[in-house]
Amino acid sequence: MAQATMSRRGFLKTAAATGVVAAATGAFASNFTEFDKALAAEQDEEIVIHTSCRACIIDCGAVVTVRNGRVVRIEGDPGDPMNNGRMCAKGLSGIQALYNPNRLKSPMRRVGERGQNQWERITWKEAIDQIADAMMELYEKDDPMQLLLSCGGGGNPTRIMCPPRFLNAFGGGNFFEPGCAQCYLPRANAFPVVNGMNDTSIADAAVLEIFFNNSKSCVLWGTDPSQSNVASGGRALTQLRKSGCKTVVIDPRLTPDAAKADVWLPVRPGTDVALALSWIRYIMDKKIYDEEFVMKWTNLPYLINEETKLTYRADELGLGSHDDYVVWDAKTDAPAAMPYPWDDNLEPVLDGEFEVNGKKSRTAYRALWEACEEFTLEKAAEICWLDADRIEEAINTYAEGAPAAGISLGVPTDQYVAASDGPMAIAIIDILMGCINRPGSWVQKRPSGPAGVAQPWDNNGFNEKVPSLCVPAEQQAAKLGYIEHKGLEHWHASHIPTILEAVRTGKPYRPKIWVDFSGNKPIMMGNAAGFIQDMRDNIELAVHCFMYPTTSSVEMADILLPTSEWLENSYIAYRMNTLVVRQPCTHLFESVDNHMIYGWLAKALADRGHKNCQLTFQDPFPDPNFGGYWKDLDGFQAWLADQADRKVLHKGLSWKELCEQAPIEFMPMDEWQNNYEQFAVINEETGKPAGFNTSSKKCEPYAEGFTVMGRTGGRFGTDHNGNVQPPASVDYEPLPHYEEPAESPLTDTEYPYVLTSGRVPMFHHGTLRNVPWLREIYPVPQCWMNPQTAAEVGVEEGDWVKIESRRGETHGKVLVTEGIAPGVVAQERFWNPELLDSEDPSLAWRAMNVNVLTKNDPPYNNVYGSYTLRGFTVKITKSEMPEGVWTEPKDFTPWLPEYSEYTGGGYAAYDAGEANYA
Amino acid sequence: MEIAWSLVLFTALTGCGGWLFVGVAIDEFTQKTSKANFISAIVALVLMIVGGLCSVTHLAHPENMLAALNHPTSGIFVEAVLVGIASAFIIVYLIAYGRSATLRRICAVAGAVVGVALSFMAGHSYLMDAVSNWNTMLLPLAYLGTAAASGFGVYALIAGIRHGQTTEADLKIAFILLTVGGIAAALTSLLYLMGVMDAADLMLVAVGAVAVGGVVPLACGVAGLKATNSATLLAAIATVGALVGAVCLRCAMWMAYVPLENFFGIVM
Amino acid sequence: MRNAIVVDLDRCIGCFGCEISCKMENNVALGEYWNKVIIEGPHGTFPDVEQYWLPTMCQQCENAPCVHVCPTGASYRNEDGVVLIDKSVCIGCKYCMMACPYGVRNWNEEQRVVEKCTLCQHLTSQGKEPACVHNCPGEARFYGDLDDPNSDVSKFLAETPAEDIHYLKNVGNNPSTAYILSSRFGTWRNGD
Repeated sequence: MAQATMSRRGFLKTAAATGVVAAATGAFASNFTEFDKALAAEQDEEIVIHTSCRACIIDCGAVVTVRNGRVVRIEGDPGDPMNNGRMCAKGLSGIQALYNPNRLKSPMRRVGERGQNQWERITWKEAIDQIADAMMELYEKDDPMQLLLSCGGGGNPTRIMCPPRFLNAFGGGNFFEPGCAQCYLPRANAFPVVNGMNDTSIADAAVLEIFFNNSKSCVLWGTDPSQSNVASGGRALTQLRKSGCKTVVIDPRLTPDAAKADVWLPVRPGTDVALALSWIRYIMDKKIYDEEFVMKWTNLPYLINEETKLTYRADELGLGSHDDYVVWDAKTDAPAAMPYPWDDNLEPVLDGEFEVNGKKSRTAYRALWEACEEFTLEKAAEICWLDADRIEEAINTYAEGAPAAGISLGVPTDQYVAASDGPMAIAIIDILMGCINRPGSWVQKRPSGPAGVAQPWDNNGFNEKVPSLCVPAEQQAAKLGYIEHKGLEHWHASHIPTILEAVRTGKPYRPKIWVDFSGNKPIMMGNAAGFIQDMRDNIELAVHCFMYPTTSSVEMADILLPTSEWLENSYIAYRMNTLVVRQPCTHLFESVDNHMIYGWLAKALADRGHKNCQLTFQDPFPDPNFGGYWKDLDGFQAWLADQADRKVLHKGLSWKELCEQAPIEFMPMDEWQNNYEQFAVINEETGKPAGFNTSSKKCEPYAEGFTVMGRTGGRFGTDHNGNVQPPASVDYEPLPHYEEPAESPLTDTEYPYVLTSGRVPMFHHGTLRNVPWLREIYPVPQCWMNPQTAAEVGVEEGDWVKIESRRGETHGKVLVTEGIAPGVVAQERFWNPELLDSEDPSLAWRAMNVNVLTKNDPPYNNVYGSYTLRGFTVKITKSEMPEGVWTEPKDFTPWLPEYSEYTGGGYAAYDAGEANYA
Repeated sequence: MEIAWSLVLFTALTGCGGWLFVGVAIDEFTQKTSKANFISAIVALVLMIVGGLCSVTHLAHPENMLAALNHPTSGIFVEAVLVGIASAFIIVYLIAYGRSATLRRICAVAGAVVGVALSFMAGHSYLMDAVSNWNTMLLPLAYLGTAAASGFGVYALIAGIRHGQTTEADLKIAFILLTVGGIAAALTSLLYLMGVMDAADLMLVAVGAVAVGGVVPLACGVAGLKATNSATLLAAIATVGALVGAVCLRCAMWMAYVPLENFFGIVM
Repeated sequence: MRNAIVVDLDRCIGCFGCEISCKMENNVALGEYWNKVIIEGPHGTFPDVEQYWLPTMCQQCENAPCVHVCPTGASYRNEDGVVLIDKSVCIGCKYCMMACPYGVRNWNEEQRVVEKCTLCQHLTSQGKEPACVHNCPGEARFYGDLDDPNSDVSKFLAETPAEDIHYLKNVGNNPSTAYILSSRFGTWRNGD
């Protein structure tokens, strides 16, 4: 085997050179076994493959043309009802990502000091053995909790349930993801706590009602599907707007959706909850809510036990059973048990404060009113830098469409301390207006669930049929930051600042081994410089699995494992009523689907006598609904096919048949769609309506589920594994409240501007900055500022600025625009792969990365531990363009595709061996 | 837009050659500076050929030039044909020189007419609806006017050299022509540039075109009518001034290029 | 026959997908364009602003200046009425680029010839749509024969109020490409 030692300057060039040499010598003959050239077609053969894109998280159906073994064209798949044959810039760029000359081509091991960027090529066997040995030592001699796994960065990198699933098998450890508490987890968790149904993210495909053109009005609250979810959600919204649906867009930036909105509210970053509370107040004050729905399908008429903060159960007052709640009956002027779903003999008072058992007790409605009472339109206008009349216009635009209306809450509130309050407040608005599970409402729950994040496995990773693969109570409690921020268990994550503190201080224990399945971590992490320092200085073994070198590889990693691009990967995804199948169009170099690495590590641990890992290879697996681990690609693909079959197809199709038939409509669309008012459908067994998935089976705008979660681990009183956990030190409140951001432009004289960020249509999270087609359009990050701000700073369009926060400084190129408020600046995350190869590789993540500025210290959201990535303060001065940055289209020529032939991938280079542990 | 130097030189040199030959043609009838005619015709021919070659350097694929026969109405085709015809008449003129006065005169007049037309058409090719700063008859007139000054300047220079400094009567017509050329250059340049001055920062080239290219030859021409002892020097100054002016005028045209829209942002 | 692209700006969401699909299909080099999206705005003063995105490409002018000025006939109109470039006879004089009112012709630096949007003739001749139309995530682009009342473009234009149909500034070249922009989404600013 060829051993190559590379210097810093030569990293990228050499990484590319191995591919060139291999191609020239006939496909890696030296270290590849024979491979099946199934897709390396004969001359002039053209095949068309129906697959699924993974340039972002949404999985659009894609049609890929492969000519003579080479991917030559990507199109949308007309068989996918969501993108309807369309494909965005990111997806189309898959070709340039696949054949990027800087792809990581084989496993590598660091030979110099960490950060010196000197590497030797090793085999997959050497890599897996080294990692498994270290993990086994940790498992046997130290504490399994010291294993740290991470993913994130969006797009192609690993699915979020993969790392926790591996930790289940390993028997401990912490998992983090830079999105998670900062992206979607709070909404995905909080909305169902409140509405008992679903969240309203378009970009995560929770809102699918937009594909049926029957909404009359809608609100895009901090979400820009035209940039984040272009061909699916973005496309659907263009259709909706064109068909007459009125739109309100709430976003500090004039996004494409904002430019097309009927009302644009450019809210001050960090103040969304104040605005949302003013909406609730207005709706209650003007009594424009859906009274029938509010009375019969929410917990707002229920009386509150002001001491427990929970609604009364009838048994507490001796009025009825524990399943019944308590209302104030106007007829008898006394509290009465309200059985589910409704007792027509009662006349519940919606708004009131009473004396119950000698103690004050408000209806939940009254409590909600008091929580938002101070937020008049004028007050919200003052806080949010908006115009009161325009807020009113926005509310009415939305309300006039109700119940055929909805509010999609995007990521902004996840990105600061209001991570739970934001979704609570927004969920409440839709509930008040009755925009729940009605035709045209955006809160819906449909057979296949959220398409974009559909997981073929159970949320618990493995399940109760293999008890030792479930997480014991004490192991869950030992997860870093979990007890305080229990919402994190929604995705089995730990709290990032608490992890970093443990990494730094060794308390309560120090994570030693870190395996990361994502791109450039410091582009995604709050306070990037602190993150890099903590990890680089303290982690004992760092493994980075990605498609190409990033800062994570160069500055922090000890072993690099090459993963494959989506055009090489296998997966399944639900797209409304249709199953799309991601299938390999080629396999390049020694790269593998990142899923393979979990299987290979579990297999290597099993071979070393790890009992739990051995259990994951039982054949047949005790519960086939979940399945075990895989030791080769065939095994992984067979597992995917099995999952697809069990969940939706029920046809017994093999992986090969699945690939041939994809995309597969598994249910007629009208049947899939026609799922309205499910809550009112009478269950034949109970004779009662199905209701909502909450304790009261009603929507719970008085969201006591949070309070229960904080005290026990889950909104129903236990964590995922049925254990009751110790309470958090501070109760989670059942109603939303607004607090001025910790760093506020109202009071900060040193850092006078407030910074926000947001999507551009060319990139997804930290990916694709190495694609010439995209960098050509957007070579460097724009720093948006109002002409007034630009004048204050003394800059003009095209100037470079230095942006400083209390954490650090970075750069941006000025875009002077009337599309943002004076005093607010916006810049999207960025990094410069071209600078990895410069004299100072740290410029790659420092030069123009807003996450150098962001904040990962307290305050945190109490439910989710979210820190502050948006709505903090900065100062800005005129500056120069950082040296070495590529800005002209021709600069990106070195990254143009360097075509490589089918090799069979890493699967052809590594045999995990037989799994027989009887 | 960047200045297309190939085309600047092409139009300036062929225009100069054409108008130089006008001087020859006029003398064929006035017979005052006959000694200058043969050399002037040769110089005119050289200017035509060198100018023509300059235009070829503008083309990325001159080997495809024959395809122009497919499209004989285009400006470029007309210019190429006029260069060819003018050159042909000059060659025949040279061949006929000392043989047939009639043929010589016919060729001289014909060549001069074609030369004048060429100087006009070279500017006329730029008239296009998409470029309002070019889309005016003042542009080809200015091309013609500046060409006249430079052509007559060269003629006066050659006449001065061939006829000596003192033969006032002989040189008088040459200097009258030079004066007329100067007036034409100054006037036409001024008129064209006045229309486009707001398009670009043209002050320097405008001064170059009008003052150096028009007023200098005009002044030299007027001075030459009186101060005959330095006729060659005056003619030389006038020639340099007129050529500089012709180049300036053409540069000004390129600098004043403002397309209706330039969506791709291509800098030509 | 008048084949052309029609763009519904009400539906264009500025995603730049058409630029990439064009580059992929036609192998257009870095820094060169056959198709480019212009950001028109924001106009007005915060927060009362308007903005739309204007995808630009060869407008298939009825009275095409590029064809008039081309000395070799490299710029020509084919039998289907489509303005095209025969690169094999292009002499690279760039007169057509100067004459194009919109600057939507490209100088191919490698081949040193002028080129431009071909309406994806290699695809449309097989009954397919141009790549940009086929891929447009906003479903904002339409292709077809404006003279055929049954074509996609004609049907779309027929159902569009006349006041919402716009053309780029016209200096006698009569562009064929229609842009749809209704007042709800913005004020047309690129022509009469």
